[in-house]
Amino acid sequence: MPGCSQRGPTPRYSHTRYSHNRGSDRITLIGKHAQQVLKAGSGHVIALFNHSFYLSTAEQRLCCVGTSELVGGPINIRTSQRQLPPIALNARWHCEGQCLYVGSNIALDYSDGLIFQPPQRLNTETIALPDVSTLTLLKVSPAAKIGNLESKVEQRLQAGAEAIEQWLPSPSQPLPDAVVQLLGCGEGLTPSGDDILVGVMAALYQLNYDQKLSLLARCIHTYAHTHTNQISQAHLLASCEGMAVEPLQQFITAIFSGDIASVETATESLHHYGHRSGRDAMRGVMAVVNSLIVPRQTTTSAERIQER
Amino acid sequence: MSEIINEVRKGFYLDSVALMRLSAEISALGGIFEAVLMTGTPANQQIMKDAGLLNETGAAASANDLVIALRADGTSSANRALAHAQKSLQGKTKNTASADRRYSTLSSASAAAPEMNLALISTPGAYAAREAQLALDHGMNVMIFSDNVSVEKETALKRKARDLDLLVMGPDCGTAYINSVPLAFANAVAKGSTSVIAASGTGLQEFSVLLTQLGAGIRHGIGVGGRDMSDEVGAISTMMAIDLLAADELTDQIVLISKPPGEKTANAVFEKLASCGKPAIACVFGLKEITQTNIQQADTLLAAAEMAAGARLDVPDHPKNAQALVKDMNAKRKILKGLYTGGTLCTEAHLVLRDNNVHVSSNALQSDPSTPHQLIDLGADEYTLGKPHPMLEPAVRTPFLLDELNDPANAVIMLDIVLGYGAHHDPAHEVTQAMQSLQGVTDKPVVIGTVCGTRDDPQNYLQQCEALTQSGVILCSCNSEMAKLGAAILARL
Repeated sequence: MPGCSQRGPTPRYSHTRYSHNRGSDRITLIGKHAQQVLKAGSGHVIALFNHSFYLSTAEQRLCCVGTSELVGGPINIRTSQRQLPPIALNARWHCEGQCLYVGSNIALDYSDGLIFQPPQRLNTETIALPDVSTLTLLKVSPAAKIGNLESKVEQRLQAGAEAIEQWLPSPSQPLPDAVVQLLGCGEGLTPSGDDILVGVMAALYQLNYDQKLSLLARCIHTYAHTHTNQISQAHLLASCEGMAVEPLQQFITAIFSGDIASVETATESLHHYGHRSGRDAMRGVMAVVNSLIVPRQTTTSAERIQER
Repeated sequence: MSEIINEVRKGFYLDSVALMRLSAEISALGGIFEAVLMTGTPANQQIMKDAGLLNETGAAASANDLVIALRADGTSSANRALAHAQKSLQGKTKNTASADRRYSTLSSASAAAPEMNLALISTPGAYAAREAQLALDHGMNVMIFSDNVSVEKETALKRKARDLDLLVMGPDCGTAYINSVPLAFANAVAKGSTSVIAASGTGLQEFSVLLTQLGAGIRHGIGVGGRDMSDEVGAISTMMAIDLLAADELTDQIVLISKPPGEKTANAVFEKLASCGKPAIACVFGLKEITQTNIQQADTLLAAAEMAAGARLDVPDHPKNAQALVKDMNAKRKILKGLYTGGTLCTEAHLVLRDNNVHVSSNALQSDPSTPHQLIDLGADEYTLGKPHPMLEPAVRTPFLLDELNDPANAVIMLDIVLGYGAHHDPAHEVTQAMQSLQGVTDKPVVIGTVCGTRDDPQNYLQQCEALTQSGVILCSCNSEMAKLGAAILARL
C-alpha cells in the first residue's frame, strides 16, 4: 500500500478486561496526527457515524476511527473491524499498553498498525502539466441542484477558488478576503470551502510550493478555530502540513503524471470520498493547476514549478 | 407572508449524506419555500441570512452547532417541517443530542455553551462551595443541591452572586422549577402563572402538587435553602427572588413557603413581598401573624395552594373516620409516630399536630423531648450521613417502620410517600412489604399515609396509591390532612 511502511513498536499487553479482543480487533493504519491524539492518552467520543467516530482530547485535538473501509489519512485510524460495535457519544477513551479502549465495547491493539505517510513530493524534473484532454476530464461541475441558498454558496465558493487562482502566481500580495471566506462555507460535515482549501494545500505541498503553503497555513491557523467546526479544523490543520487523505494524494500525483488512465482511476476514487468532499478538494487542486496553466504562454512548466 | 424558523443543535455532528438528504426532504414538504441543515459557521450564517433563512436563533449558533433553517408559507407549515426534521434527527442520532453532552468541568461546559446560565451543583458538600464560586465566575446562576455547606460559605456566595446580579439557590436546594421545568426532586406538575419561593424540597413539591390538583400551575419555583431567611444570611436570595419574580411578566402571584425568618430579617422580607406589586401569599410555618395586611397568610400548604388557585380542594373529612379506625384498638396503644422522608412535610405535620393539641418531638423543629409522640425526618443530615436519602432509597425507612409497627404502644404511624423525578421508582413497595408483618395480627396500630405526587409523575401514581391501600395504609389527601387525622385518632383513644 502506498505510503504505508513503518510499523509501531513491539506490543505490550497489560489490560485484561478486553483480552478477548486481542489479535482480532486492531488498528491497521494510523495517520500521524491521529498518533498524536492517541499519545494524549485519553479523551472522549465527540461524534458518531455509521462507519466511524471521532475521538477528542482535552486539548480538542481530533482523530477519526473507522472500519476497514476508512481511507488512509493523517487524522484517520483504520481498524480491522468491518462493522463498529455499539458505542455512545461522550464515551471515554484511553490508551494503555499499545491498546486503544473506547467505552466498554472497543479495544483496539495498535502495536503493529502501519503508519500512514505523507505523499512523496513530485519531482519537478519529470512533472507534466495536465493537457487539454485531462483538463476536460477534470472539469468540476457545480452541485446538480441550484436553489436560492445553493447558488449563494456556489457564488462564494467560486469567488474563493478564483481568488486562490489569482493569488497563487503572486503570493506576495495579501491573501484575498474571498479565500478566508471559504472557511466554514457550505453544506456538509466538512463545509465545501474547507475541502477546497484542503485540496489547494495538498497540491501546494506535493508541488513543493512551501512558501505559498506556509502563507495559507498561517491563515488557517488564525481563522479556522472560529470559522469552522472542530472536525473540519482537524482536516484543515493536517493539510497545513501537506497531509491529506489517500485518494486526494493519489489524484494529485496522477494529474501531474501525464497518464490519462491513472487520472481517470484517481478521479473516480476521489469522487467517492465523502459526499462532496472529494469533488470539493478536487476543485481546490484544480485552482492550483489553473494558476499554473494560465501563465503558460510566458514561461515553461519547469520554470513555473521552480518559481516557488 | 412567510415564516422563518431556526433550530440550533449544540455540538451536533451529522454526516454529509444525512444532512443533505434531510435538507432535500424538508425542502420538498408542502408549504416550504426553502430549507437547509448546515453547520452554524459565520460563513454559513451569512449565506442563510442572504437567503432569507436566518433568524435570531440561528444567528446565535456557533461553528460546532447544526442549524435547521427553513422558510415556509405560514406557521403551520413551518412547524410541521420542523417537527419532521426533529423526528428524523432523533431517529438517526439519538446518541448525539446536545442534551447528552457531558463535560468534566464547569469551565469546559461554559466554554462549549457560553449561553448556559444555570449550574446545578451536586457534589459532596466540601466541594460544593468551590464549584458554585466557579459557576458564578462564569456568569451562571447556581442551584446548590448539595448540603453540608457552611453558613459562612453560603453567605459569602450569596453576597458575591448579588454583586454579580446572579441568583444562588440553596444550599440543600432539593427542588426547583425554572420556566415550569422541574429540576432535581420535583413532580410533573402543571404549568401556570404562580411562582414560589421556598426553602427547598418537599414543601415546594407538596404545594405544586396540590396546586396542580386544583387546576392551576407553576411558573417558577425557586428554592433558596433552609437558612436563607436566617439573620446570618439575611434572606439575600429570597430578596433577589422577589425582585426577579416581580419583574417576570408571566408570574401573576408570588407564594412564599418558609420556616420563620430571623427576627432582623423578617420585616425586610415581608415589606419587600408586600410591596412587590403582585398578589402575595405566605405560608411561614410557626409564624402566628404577618403584620403586612396585603400578604395573605396560610397555615398549611393546602391552604396556600387553595389561596393561589382561588378554589377549594375536594378533601374527604378524614378525621371523621377516626372513631371507626380506633374502635377495636388495644387501649394500651396511645402513641403517635411519624416517619418522614420530606423535611418540610415533617415540619408541617409537627405544627398541624400542635395546633390540634398533640405535642410531638421531632428533629425538624425544636420541641419538647419529654412527649412520647415523635416525628422523624429521615432525610435529615444525621440520618443520611453515609447513606442514601430515603426518597432515593425507601429501604432506609424500613427498619424504623418495622420497629414502630411492632411497638405495642403505638396507636398511629404517619408516613409520607414522595413521587416525582429523582425519587425512587417504586417507593410504595418498601412500605407494603413492611405492612405484611401485620398480616393476621389483630392488635396493631393504624398506619396513615399521604402520597405527594401527580398522575404525570414517572412512577404510576394510581398504582402506588392502590398498592398502599391494599396493604392496609389509610391514605389521606395531603400531608396536613394526614396530621389532622393523626390528631383525631389520638383524641378518640
